[in-house]
Amino acid sequence: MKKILIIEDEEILLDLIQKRLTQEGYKIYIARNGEEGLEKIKEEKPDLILLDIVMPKMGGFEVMERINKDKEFKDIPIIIISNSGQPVELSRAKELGIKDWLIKTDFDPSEVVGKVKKQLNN
Amino acid sequence: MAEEKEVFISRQIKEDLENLERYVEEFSKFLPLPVYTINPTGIIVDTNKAANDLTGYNEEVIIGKEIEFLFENKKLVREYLNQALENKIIKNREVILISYNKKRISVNISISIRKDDKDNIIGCFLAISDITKIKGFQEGLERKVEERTNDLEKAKTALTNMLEDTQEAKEKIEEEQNKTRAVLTSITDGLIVFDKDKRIALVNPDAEKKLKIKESDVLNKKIEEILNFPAINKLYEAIGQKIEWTGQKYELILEKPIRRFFDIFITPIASKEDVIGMVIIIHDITRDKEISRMKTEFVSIAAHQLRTPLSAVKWSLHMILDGDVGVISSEQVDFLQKAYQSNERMILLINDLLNISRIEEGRFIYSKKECSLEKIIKEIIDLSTGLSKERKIKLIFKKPEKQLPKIKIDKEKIQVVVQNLIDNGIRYNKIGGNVTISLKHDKLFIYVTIEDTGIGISDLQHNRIFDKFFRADNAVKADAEGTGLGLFISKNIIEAHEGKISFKSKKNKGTIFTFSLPIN
Repeated sequence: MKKILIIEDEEILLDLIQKRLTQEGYKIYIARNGEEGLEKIKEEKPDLILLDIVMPKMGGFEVMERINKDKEFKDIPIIIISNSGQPVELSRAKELGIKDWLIKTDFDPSEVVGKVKKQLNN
Repeated sequence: MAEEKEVFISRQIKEDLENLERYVEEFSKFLPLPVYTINPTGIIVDTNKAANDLTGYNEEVIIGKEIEFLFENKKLVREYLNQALENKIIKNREVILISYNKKRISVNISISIRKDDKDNIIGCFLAISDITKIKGFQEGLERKVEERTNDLEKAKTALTNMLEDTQEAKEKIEEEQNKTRAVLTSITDGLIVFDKDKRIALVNPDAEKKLKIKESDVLNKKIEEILNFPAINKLYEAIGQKIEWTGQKYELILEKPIRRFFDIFITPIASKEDVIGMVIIIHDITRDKEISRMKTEFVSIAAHQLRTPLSAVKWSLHMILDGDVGVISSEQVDFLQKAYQSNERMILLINDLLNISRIEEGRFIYSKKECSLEKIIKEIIDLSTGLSKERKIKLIFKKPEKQLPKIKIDKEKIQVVVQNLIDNGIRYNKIGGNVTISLKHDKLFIYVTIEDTGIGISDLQHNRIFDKFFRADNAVKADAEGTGLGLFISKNIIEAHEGKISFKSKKNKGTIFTFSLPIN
């Protein structure tokens, strides 16, 4: 069973994605900020990370910077869940090596599933 | 013999005397000086021709009369006579003589006494000199002097009046100047006034404060001479190193002590048709900027904050509609779909608000890349077919006659523009209408035209169509959903690309929007 870590501070969205992806048969781990997320990455070694950008304690960019420095984890595919979808934000995320992104208001849960599947089937 | 001799001598003396008297008489007749001979009691005993001529009295009348008879001021003449008899010298005393014809003649009299051989006073001579002419001359002179004095007085009065008028005018001017100065002083914008030669004529206190200069230090100097003042130097740079009226607004930023922003205007001062100077106006917009920034920031934050719950609603509804959490009835689907659509509209509105706040923050156009405009437009047309079918509108794409060059644009933003214009074409159309999209180019621009057969825009509202939040009356009736932001955003995007957007419209006939984008 593939393991997905969702790092998202917004409780409802977190809950919704978790439910939807569980339905698809994935093992889901959750973290509510970047710090917690890094710990979970080390503990669980997920196959994919869904990462929010603006979060308390540690944001998504810093999480990516940390992962990139770690040989063991730097190849885990990351999909950004962005609130604003601002070009500045996305271009920085791309530089940090994300695989894909989605903008919260533009996507719905089934599309998220589509993006996840695409990454994990590669 | 001795007696004979005595008789002879006395006869001889007598003869000599008689001769002498005749001589004196003839001589006095000949003399031009009027002279009366008076005895010690003041009775005239003799006269001469000149005296008769002057007074008009002949000898027969005048001899035997008291001397004062001849004069107006009789007492004074008698007094002079008495003084003379007491050995005082009476010379050139002015009196008035009354002639036989009752004419008043100004004369000077001099009196000299006659003595016999034993030093007894036997009478006196009174000589008269006519000073009428001199007097007349003198009077004429005096009159002239008086006239001249009068003239001068008049001139002086006139001059005084003129001076007073001038003084008044001067005071008025000064008052006006003071008023102007007071106005300039109390004005809360900085002003630097330059004269015709571009020398500083005035610096108001606000400008002194803003630029940290003193009027007295810079008066009569050219701006080039005072660039050692840091703020003046910055101002000089801000206005392009010249004081010229361009109708342009310049921006000045001063960092010390705190960062402040100013709008700079340069305006000519004209008197009638001549330009008599220039004025630099320094208007502090720091607060405006701050308010504007806060407003934009507020909108930005509010919009961001709203996106998260809207996303949560969207995703929740979507999952229920997808049947992820169990089977729902068709009636439930219907209601949930309505909720979902309303939520989608809210998301669109929030997106528009965010775009506007980004436009206002000046960080809207992010990155320009070389793209095919034709491809972008085709993609949008494809995306719009759902809506157009729903509204029974035919979307027509006219392929450009010549191959279009690629252009450097911010693809996502241009997509927004095309989407907005096609959406409008569909939404504000009539059932069975068309939306035609065509492309062409010349050497400088690519032109995109989106033409509809819809409700059009009333002439009265043409000039407001690109305003933020503006929606035309007939547009509100036709479609309640619009935000009034689409065309505002589109115009900003096109102008940020240095292109132009315009339209032609006839109410109830349709509208043609055209925008242009520069080819590099």
